[in-house]
Amino acid sequence: MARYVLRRIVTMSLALWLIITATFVIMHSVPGGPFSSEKNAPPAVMQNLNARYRLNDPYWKQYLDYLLNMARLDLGPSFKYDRSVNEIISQGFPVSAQLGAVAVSIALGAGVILGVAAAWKQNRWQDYTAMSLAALGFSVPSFILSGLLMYIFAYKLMWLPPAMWGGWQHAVMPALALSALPTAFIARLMRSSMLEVLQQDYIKTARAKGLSPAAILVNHALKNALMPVATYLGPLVAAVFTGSFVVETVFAIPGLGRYFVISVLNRDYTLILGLTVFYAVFLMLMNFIVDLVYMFLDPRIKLADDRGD
Amino acid sequence: MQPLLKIEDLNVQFETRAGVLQAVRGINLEIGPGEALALVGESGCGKSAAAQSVLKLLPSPPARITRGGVFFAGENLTAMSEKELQRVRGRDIGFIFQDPMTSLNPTMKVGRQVVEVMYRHGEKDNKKNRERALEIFGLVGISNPGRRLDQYPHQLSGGMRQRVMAAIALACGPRLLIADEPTTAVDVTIQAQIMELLRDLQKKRGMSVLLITHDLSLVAGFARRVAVMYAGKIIETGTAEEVMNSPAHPYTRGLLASIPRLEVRPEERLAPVPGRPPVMINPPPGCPFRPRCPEAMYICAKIEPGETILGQGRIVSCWLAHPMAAESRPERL
Repeated sequence: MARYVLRRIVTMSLALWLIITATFVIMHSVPGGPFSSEKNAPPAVMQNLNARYRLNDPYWKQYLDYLLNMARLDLGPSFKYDRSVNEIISQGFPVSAQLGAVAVSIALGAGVILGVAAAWKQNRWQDYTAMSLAALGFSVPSFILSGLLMYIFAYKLMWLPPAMWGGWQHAVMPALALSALPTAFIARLMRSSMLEVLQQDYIKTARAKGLSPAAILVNHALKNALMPVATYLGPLVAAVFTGSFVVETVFAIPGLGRYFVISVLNRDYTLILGLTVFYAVFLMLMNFIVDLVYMFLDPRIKLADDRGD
Repeated sequence: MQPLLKIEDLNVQFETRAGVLQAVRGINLEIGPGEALALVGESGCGKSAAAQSVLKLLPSPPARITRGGVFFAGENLTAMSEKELQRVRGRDIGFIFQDPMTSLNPTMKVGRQVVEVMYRHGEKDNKKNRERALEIFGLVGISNPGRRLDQYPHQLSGGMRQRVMAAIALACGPRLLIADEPTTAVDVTIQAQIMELLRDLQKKRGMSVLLITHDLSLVAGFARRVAVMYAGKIIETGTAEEVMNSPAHPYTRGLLASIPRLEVRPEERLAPVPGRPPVMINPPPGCPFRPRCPEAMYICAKIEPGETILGQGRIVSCWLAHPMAAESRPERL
C-alpha cells in the first residue's frame, strides 16, 4: 500500500510538471501581457511594472523561479488583483466547493435513482420519463436553467433569494443549475450499467434463491452497477468543486469559477498557472480516491503493488 | 405414489425479432420423491428453458409459458403469483446453474451468499445461519470451510465455486434439486467429483433431482430414468438401462455413438450426429430430426410422429416405432 501511494505521488508530480511546463509555454506564446490593457501608460511606468513583476527576466529564469516558489507552495502575487494567488484560491475555493458538494450530491442521488428506475422498468413509462429528463438535462444550457430557476423561485414565488452568497437558501438554485448536466450523465450511465448487471447470471441465481426484487436490486445489482458512476465521479468532483464561470456569474457568487476565465482574459500569468496547478492537483487527487473506492466496490480489484492474500 | 414434480403439457415460447420460437413444445415429466431423473439433449433443444420454467426463472418477456403447467407436491407453480413463487424458490426447490464462474455475485462473500437464502426463508438469526452454512460447506466437500465463508468467488477454483452453488441450493433443505448442466463449465476431474456429490446428496437426503445435461455419459449410475429431448419435445423416455442399452430413437442412438468409450480403438473415430438442431421458428412439417436422421422415411417429412408406448414408462416419438413401420421400410427417402 505504502509503495503504491509513493508511486502514485511520483507519477502525479511528473504529470504536474508537464502541465506547468505546457501551460507556461502556451501562456507566453499568446500575444499581449498582463499590462497591455493599461491604456497610455508612460514607458517609465511600464518599465517599473515589468521590473516589479520580473517580466524582464528571460523566460527560463521566470520558469525556474516559478517552479522554486511552487515547491514552497507559493503561487505568487496576482497581476491584476491586489492579492496573492494563494489568497484568491483560499477565499474562492471554499465557496465553490460547498456549492459543488451540494450539486454533486443532488446529481448522484437523482442520477442513480433515475437510472435505476429506468433500467428496472425498461421500455415502460418510468424509463421514458427518466430518459426524457436526462435529455433535458443534457441539452438545456446552465445559463438558461439559472435564469428559469431565478424567474420561478425568486421572482414569481419569492421563495429564494435571487443571488449572492449566504445561507443555505443561496445554494439551492445554483446547485440545481450545476447539477443538471451531471444528473443526466449519471442517469444514463447508471441505466446502461444496471441493464448489463441485470442480465448477469448471478442475478438469476438471486432469483432462484427466492429473493424479492427489492433485495436483488439492493444487495446484488446496485453495488456492481455503480462502478462506471464511480469512474465519472473523479473528474466530476474536480470540475464542479472548482466552480463554474456561468453559474457563479449569474448568481453573483464569490467562488473560484470565474477566475478561470477572467485570468486568461487578463493574461494574469500567475493566476492562470496557479489555478491550473490547483485544478490539476485536485483532479489527480480525486482520481486517486476513485481508485481506492473501486477496491471497496469490487474485491477483485487489487492495488498494483498489493501482493499476497 | 404422488409425484413430487409433475410437468404437464408444458409449452414455452420466446418472442424474438425473427418470430416466435417454440422452445418447449408440450413436454410431460414426473419425478417421484427421492428420484433422480435426467433430461438429456443438445444445446438449444429446450431442456434449460424447460427446467427454468419450473420456477418461472426465464425473463418474461421474451419467454412465455403458453400452455400446460408445473405441479410441485400437488400445487400448481405456473398459476402462482410471483410472491408465492418466491417462497418456493430456494426453499422447496434448489437450483444449480451451469457456470459457477458467473453464477455467483463477484462482489459478495460466498458465506453471505449462502446465509442470504436461509435468512430469506425464515431463519433471521444470522449467527445460527453462519453455523449452518459452515455445516453445509462441509457437507458439499469444501475444505477449510471457516476460511472459505469469508472469501470472494474469485478466490475460489471453479470446482469450489460449483460446490458453493450446491451449498446455496441446499441451504434450506429443498425437496427437489434442479441441476442445469452442473458440470459443463468445470474440467473433467471436477466433473466426476460434482456428480459424486450430487449422487451422494440425493441418496443421503432422499432428495429428488432433475439433472439437465447434454452428456449421456453422466447419466449412467446417477439417474434411474432418462428423458431425451429434441427440438422442444421429449422424444424418448425410459429407465437409464433401457435408453442406454436399447435406444429406440435414432437420435438417442446417435447421441450414444458420440460418447467416447474405452473399447473404441484409436483409429476409429467418434461418430457425431451430423447437422445441427433446427431453430424452431416456423418449423417445416414433419419430424424435426428428419434432416439429420439416417433412417428417415417418406412419412417423416409429412407428419410429426406421435408417442408410441413401448412399455411401462417407456415412450418414444418416432415413426420407426410405429407398428406399421416395418411394412413401410421401402418408402425410405
